[in-house]
Amino acid sequence: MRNPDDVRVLVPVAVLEGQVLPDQLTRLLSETTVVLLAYHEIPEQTAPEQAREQFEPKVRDELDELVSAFEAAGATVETRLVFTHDADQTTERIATEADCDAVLLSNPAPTIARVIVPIKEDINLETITKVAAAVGRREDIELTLFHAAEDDDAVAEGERLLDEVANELAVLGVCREHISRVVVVAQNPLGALIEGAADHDVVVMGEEKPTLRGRLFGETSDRVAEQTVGPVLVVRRPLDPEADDADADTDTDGSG
Amino acid sequence: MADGNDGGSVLGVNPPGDGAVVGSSDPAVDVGEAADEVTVLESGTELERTIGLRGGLAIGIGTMVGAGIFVFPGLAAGQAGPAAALSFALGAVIALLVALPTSELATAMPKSGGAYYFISRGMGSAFGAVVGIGLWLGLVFASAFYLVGFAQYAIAVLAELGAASMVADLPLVATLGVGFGLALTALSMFGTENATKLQNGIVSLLLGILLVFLVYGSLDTLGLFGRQTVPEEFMPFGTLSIFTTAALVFTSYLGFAQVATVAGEITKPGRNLPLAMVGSVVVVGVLYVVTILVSTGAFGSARLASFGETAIVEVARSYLGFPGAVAILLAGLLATVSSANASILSSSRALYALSRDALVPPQLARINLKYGTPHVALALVGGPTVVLVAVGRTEVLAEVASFLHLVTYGLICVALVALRRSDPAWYDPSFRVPGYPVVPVLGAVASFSLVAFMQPLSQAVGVVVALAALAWYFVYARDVRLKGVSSDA
Repeated sequence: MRNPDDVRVLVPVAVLEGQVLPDQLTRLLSETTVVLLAYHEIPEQTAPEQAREQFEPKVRDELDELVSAFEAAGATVETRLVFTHDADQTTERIATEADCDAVLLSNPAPTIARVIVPIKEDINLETITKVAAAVGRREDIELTLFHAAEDDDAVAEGERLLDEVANELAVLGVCREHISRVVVVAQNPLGALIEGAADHDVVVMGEEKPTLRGRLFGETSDRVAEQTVGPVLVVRRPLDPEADDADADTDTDGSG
Repeated sequence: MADGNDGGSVLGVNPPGDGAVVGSSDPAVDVGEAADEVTVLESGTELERTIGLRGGLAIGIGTMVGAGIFVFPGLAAGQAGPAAALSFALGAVIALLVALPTSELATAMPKSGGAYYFISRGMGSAFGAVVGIGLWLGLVFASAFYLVGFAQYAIAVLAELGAASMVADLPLVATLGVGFGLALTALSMFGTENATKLQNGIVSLLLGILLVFLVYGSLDTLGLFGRQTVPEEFMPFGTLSIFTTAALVFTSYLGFAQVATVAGEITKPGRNLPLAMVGSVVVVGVLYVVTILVSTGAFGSARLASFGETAIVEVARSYLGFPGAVAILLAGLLATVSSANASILSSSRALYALSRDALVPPQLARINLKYGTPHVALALVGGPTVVLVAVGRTEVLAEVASFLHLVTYGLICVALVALRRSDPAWYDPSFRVPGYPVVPVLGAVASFSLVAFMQPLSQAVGVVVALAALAWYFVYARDVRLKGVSSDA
């Protein structure tokens, strides 16, 4: 069974479409196990087997290059190579099968020095902390813990929450001097986060809703990824076995 | 219930690391390891399965429903009277006898190419070539038939709009059919986003319209709303007419096997493939039989026959007035387009499967780098289709399509028996035909017999196509030995 301290990050890459992973990003994930998902999305007119026959050698070459890049940065790499009609479905399936803690929504990343981690009490705090620590242990990374409080009365509570997380991060090996804390009062937490993320390079955030096929992540993380310039690491919720069974019963309808 | 053959892991979720090492242990047939949601090849490369049960049913129903309701009622009633309902029922029974063996083969070999793949692996490359080329051209004939039907509906729409003076022109059918055939081919080549979702939506809308119309029509025919049905002899043209009509209308059942051409993309293949194939035959079979009873109840078969291909529009008008006619016209346009589109796509899959086995030149399977679509294969389907639309007659197009498919269906049943008897190690279907060997034997006999009831012209065209395919095999590909064959023919 896997080492509980190991942080596993799914990195989906649309190979053959010119998507490149910046060096900075490979360095950011250097202390994690990277599950590199090379996928090629094909139109419905084309049989996946047919695309595989034509493109597999080329895809393998590109995948090998990516693997070398991550390994050179020090990460452990596992690879998956998938031809699919539906990239979202594939990402979701691999994230579950490969037991990933987080999924990278890739954006260009010119430099990576400042990482913002929005914290909410009810979202999967333990795994977020673990992933943030894996990213933040590097010497050259500054972590900002961010909390949006509903009103002035909730500020103290938010500060207490961030203190807890900061302590936990310190235990996991992150240098205290590299951790800063921000609590803001905002009616619109998402807007506040996007504003707060503006002077940061990477967002590490929890997935909001339970995973349902077809709705890959809670909308929030997608919107953050659209409105910030940097990559977003989405920390997955732990799978609820019962919810998963329900999903299996309905997915015969949902995936058509 | 068969639940895929993924070795008991839950929900198709393999333990981490396991996914890369599984694979078919027998190199003779590269079927890959089929789990619920993915096929894992020996190289570790994965092919995602993305079509669920609903998608599979939509392919089957969407391909079939165009013809039986929107083209045939008038033609069939003219040939067999109200007993045409029996012809449709007979067609459904034959389709079911073939659908069950097809399901077994598809779960054993969930690969692109469907019937061609089963027969080439079960009976050798000569039969494979005849069936593969027959499927390609059979679907070309079927697409042309649907496009002619579409043109008839488009003309009927023009007539409703008051452009009646143009309607008598025959070239209009060819012009509209050819134009739309070219448009569909171009759309497929340039990659349409969400084509499947669109197809699913169209099929749902169609079924909704038909359900309202047929339920109301049935109640009315039974006299609930005070209607007098046209009194008529049930079998005015004798028993034989039921069989010849069944041979004609069997085109309405070409479609369930198309589900098998995307077998590699269907989730939980052990469960969803048989359900989609058998389910779609049952659904359209019931719709067809009820449609004929309602239609002949409204007009009597002689009058119905005089309305030709768009007879159902007049039936709808007589039951539900102008709104009914408009709804059915719209449904007719959608149904014929969805059938034509589905057939064009299946046909290109058949060509791909042939080229993968080197029975036709490999260039046919090239994928366009910009659009990601098999443009050469699509052109080789769309081109002949529009030529046939320009020159063909509805009945002949339909019967040649049926001929080529029936030969294939008969051979599917034979291939199943051959595979069961030789029982190669890789043959491990997760769905097994009930009533073996009676069902496949009956299926084969019924398929081949139906061919005998066709018009001589259709039989001649069909035989010429089959012989040409055989000649092609001996000229181009006689050295090809297909992996996994039990005995080479």
